[in-house]
Amino acid sequence: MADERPTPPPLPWLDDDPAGHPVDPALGGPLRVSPAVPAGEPVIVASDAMLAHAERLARLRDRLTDDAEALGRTGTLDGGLLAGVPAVARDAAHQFGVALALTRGAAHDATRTERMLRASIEAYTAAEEDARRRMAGLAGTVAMMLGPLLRTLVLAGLPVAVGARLAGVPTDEQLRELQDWMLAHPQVITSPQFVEAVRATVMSVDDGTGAALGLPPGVMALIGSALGFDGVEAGAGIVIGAGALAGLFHEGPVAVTRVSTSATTTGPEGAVQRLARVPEGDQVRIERYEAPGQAPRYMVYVGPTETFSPVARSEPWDLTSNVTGVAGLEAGSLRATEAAMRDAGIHPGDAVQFVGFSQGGLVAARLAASGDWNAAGLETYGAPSGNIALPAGLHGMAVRNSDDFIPALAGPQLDHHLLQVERRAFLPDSEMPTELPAPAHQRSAYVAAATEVDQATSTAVREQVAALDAFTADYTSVPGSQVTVMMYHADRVGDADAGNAAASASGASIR
Amino acid sequence: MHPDHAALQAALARRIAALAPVAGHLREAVVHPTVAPHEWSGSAARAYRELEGELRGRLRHAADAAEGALHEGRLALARLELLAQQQAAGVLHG
Repeated sequence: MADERPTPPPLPWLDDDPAGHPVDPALGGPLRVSPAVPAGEPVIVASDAMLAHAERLARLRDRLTDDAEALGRTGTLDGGLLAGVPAVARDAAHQFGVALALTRGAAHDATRTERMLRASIEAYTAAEEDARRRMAGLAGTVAMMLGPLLRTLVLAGLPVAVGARLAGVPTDEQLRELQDWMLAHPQVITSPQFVEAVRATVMSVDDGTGAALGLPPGVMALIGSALGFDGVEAGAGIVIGAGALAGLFHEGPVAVTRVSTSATTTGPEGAVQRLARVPEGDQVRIERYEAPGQAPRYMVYVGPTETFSPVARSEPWDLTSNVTGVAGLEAGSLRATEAAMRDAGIHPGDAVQFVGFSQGGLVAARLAASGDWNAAGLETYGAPSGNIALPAGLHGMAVRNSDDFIPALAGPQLDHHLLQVERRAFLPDSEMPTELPAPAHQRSAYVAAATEVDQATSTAVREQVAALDAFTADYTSVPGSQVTVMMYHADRVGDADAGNAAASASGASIR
Repeated sequence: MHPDHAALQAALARRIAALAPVAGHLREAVVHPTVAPHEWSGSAARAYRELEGELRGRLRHAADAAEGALHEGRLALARLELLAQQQAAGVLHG
């Protein structure tokens, strides 16, 4: 039975991380923005400030061009009109001609300058993409070359590892020391270089596994493709297959409970406020917006990974759902979110805007891409979802920290139907928090990123923030509107506990 | 008033009306120039900044010329108006 509350649960995430340590946006770098483009059109990447500059220059070019045309339409003062007139009139006619010529010249120079800026941005983007592609190719080659060595190491090392584990090595204390060392040295896993290495590695899992199994180059990718896995999905599929041998990554039914229903009158305004509404503990928050005479619309907020245990226990927001989700399969967290959406009364035609952090972003992107829901917008933070093909026309953005390796687990960014926003959470000389692992992936680091998004100056970013805001503000600004907040908690349950026909059909039930 | 002067006055007035907002745009672009972010460096940035400097110079010249033309045009209009008034007075008295 859902708890009926007068007000929604408090938002714990506006300024601080759970340990109470805010991340100063000044510790990070500038926003790097890649506007959404239709399929096949060139992608560009530039800083928000550079894009804002390019946009301003383009506006200047357009205005000068229009001005020059408008002046040109007035024509020249012909000799007949100027015959016998005072000298000052002839001077004025001459000055008009000069002003027209110089305005045309300025329009020409603005066009030339804008073209060069655009060419520079495109060349920079191409060089960066080329470097990334080369690294991925190199990693694939290295993985194939190291395959036989890997096989030898696994065959020879497995008995050693099993023996050591049986002998109690590493001890709990040694594991704690390793954990403490990792916490004290977050820079080891918090850099764009490490992130690129992770990205290249996940892209090479199929090549490396194929080589380790003694298969010719490319065969493993062909097998993956035949099984419906491409690119990084194939690697995740291999991880699931290998893990299954050890009882890991076992998906099963989930049950979803609506834990509270409450009312409010306001929607989120800006990226920080939307991110603040992404829940934790209870994994899904759904807001129903109603305005007189309008069809209801919904905000669906999906929470991040709650546990990184590879053994699927009661928590569906776990590593199993992460790996299953990256593989493009029906993760428990995905099914639970859909069950919650159905319980909230969302019908396939209702407009929905999804917001998700980390695994929540992966779930949100999968739902927006599914075609099963009428996705109007999508906003993700630190989501491993770059391999998901999104539909054109979505409002929103995918925000990630370039020194956060979690988004890199989905490989390179393949889809460009959504605005991409990236920034480094911690510049090389910035002090990193050491209380929590992977500081660039912590919510506090993404609150800093969202703060920068809200302060962005480029039209590319401003338009998307405004569109996401308008989705809720269009309703809350209408007299008589109301907002209902529904919180959901999901658990994995045994097959016997799933209990009803709906559960067996969808793998997710409401209780 | 000479009929051609009336046509010239109308033509000048049209040009002044068309040029006034353009002069405003040009001056605004001079006062608030577009400047590439400082974070951009390297040879492409240097080449771009040269172009940007040329554009600023061109805009300044264009703004000066437009304002000069407006000034001259208004002077000419005033002169032609005065001539017209003198001609009218001559007709009345003559």
